[in-house]
Amino acid sequence: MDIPGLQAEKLTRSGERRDPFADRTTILELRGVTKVLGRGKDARIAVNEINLVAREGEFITILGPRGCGKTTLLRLIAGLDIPEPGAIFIDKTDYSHLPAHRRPVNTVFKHFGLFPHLSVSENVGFGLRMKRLKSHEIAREVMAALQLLDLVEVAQRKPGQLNRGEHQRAALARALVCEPRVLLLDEPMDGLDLKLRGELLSKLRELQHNLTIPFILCTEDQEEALAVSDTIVVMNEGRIEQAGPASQLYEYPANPFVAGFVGRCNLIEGRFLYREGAEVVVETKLGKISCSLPDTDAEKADQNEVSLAIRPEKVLVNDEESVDNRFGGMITEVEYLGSETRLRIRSNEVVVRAAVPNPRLRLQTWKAGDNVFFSFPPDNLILMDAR
Amino acid sequence: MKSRNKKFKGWSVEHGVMMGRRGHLWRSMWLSGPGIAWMTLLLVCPLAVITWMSFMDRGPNGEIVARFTFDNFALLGGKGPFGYDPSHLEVFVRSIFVGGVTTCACVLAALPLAFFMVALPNRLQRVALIMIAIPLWTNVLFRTYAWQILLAPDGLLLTPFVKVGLMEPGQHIYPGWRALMIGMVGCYLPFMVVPVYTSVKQIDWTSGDIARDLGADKMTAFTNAILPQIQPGLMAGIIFVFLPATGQFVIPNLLGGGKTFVLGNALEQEFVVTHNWPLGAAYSVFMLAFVAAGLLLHTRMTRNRQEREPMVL
Repeated sequence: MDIPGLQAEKLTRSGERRDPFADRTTILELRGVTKVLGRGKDARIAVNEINLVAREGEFITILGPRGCGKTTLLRLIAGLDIPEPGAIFIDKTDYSHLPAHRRPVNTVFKHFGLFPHLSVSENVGFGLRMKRLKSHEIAREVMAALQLLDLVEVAQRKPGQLNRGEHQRAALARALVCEPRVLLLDEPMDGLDLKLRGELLSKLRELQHNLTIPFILCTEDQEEALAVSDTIVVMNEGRIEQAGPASQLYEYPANPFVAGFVGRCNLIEGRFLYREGAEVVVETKLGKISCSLPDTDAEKADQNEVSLAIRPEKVLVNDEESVDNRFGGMITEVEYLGSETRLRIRSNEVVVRAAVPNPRLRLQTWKAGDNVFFSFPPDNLILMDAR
Repeated sequence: MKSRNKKFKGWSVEHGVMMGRRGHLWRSMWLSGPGIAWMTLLLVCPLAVITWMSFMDRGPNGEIVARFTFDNFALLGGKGPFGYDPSHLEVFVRSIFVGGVTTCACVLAALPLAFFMVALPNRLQRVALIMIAIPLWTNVLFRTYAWQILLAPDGLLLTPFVKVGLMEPGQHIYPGWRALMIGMVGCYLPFMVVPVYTSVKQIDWTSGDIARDLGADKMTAFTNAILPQIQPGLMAGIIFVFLPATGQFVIPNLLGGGKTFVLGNALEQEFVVTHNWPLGAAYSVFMLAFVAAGLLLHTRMTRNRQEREPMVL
């Protein structure tokens, strides 16, 4: 089969990924940024030698579990904490040791943090007031920001009288009115319902499109990350696990952590047996599994203990045509989700999750207890180092 | 069904018993009744009597003559029998001055103390609160007498100052303004610290970070984002301190040494010594009106700030 899209995917897999931001100006650059939090016995490395580049108009999402250091990283960029060691450049200028109020960076904080004693317009004008702008200039800029974010009607209200949507827009306006070179967003969707999330995300996308400054958003929610970002940076325990566009992270996770954190994934542990050209054979509890390996990943094959990852929707169930990596098993759980059915199949003490698209015309029924066979297409298996 | 009747909305089920509007009324009557009766008997009635009295005339032997007159208030305003005489007005000014200085001193002392307390570990915070409350367990009178002893010439508190050379031996600050202020602040500080501490404890400290992020240096962030948050506690403290401090007369009496004739002393004099009850009543009413006006102004101002119409930018 010769499908153009498939070819493109192959190309990216072999490392010739085209970076859409390659020719843009670098605005923010982090070099070896490290931060130790706490002292003495409680000291722990919150951020560990992070290198990161944000270019003009790039939407970067820092994705990671609670306590992975993403908030600390944002605080370092904002200047609320000082990296030690490490350097932070904004527009090629070293800002590493300048405090927050002297950096051209603004943040939308977790839970928005509007000043409760100030009205919306006073909140939005706060940054300009700190810059000692003239009052008529402040009024003009504030008005423009309020109009941009649909807040004119509530301009005189106190934060206590706002609804959640107005809250988030006010926080956004307050940060943007300062015309930062980089906008940081610390879990802005936390605690918002789905509808508001969607509205905020599209608003962010639209704003970012017009402003051409990099946005750096940090979140625990991978759906949010997949939806908006140009680049996703997956962080764990203070380190960057993998960075790249959403599709790359999803299709080619670099390690089991990324595979498990971005989307759902089956991880099958095994032992490397042998390699024949692009074909690698791994011994697992299920039996021998062969997978095709792009050339650039060759060095991975030398590892003895390896993990195989495959997304649930790539697992084929009862597919007569497939021949490779075919195993038998029993369905233990069925979840009917409308567009797809999620199955858990147990085979030889290994539980494999599969997501089968529901056919259009006839209702195919899966029952717990059914014996089925499933297969892993060699192209869709990802080989990585076991942890 | 009666409960479906639109005019009758009072049905509710409480403890398995259906209650109508009349039931609710009865229950609230006998629950709040004692309180209302108490307030009527001991607050509203005396106030009415005092107000009535302040417009009455005084007989030659100190009896109240039921003849409507503004003389008492005119007297307070400075219309003496021999022309302008501000002595009564001065009492007010002095009282408000004493109250105001006490309040300012309490604010200045309470702010750092409250921040310090919040910085303590939780267990110590409780200890600190108790330590602040302990003086309140003794009567003001005792505490004031204690100050007399401590502040006396060569007293316990002054000896170190004398030794260092800051004070001459035998020099005293009691009786006098300084002793009065020490006694007043010592008495009213707890009433300022507790509400201020409560607000400081509720401060959202991330506001400071946010202000810094928006371009405020550390000091500006503190004054613009942290301090405004304790305004409600500060306001409560000011009310708790200013009002009683203005009416206080025991401490000025005992520590002020006769130079500090304040409102409380004036009341005592009119009611007990000179038996001019209508004038005393006028004092009370005048002060009450002053305080009520202040409070009203404050609530009006804060409410207006919240409900202001959209301003034209």
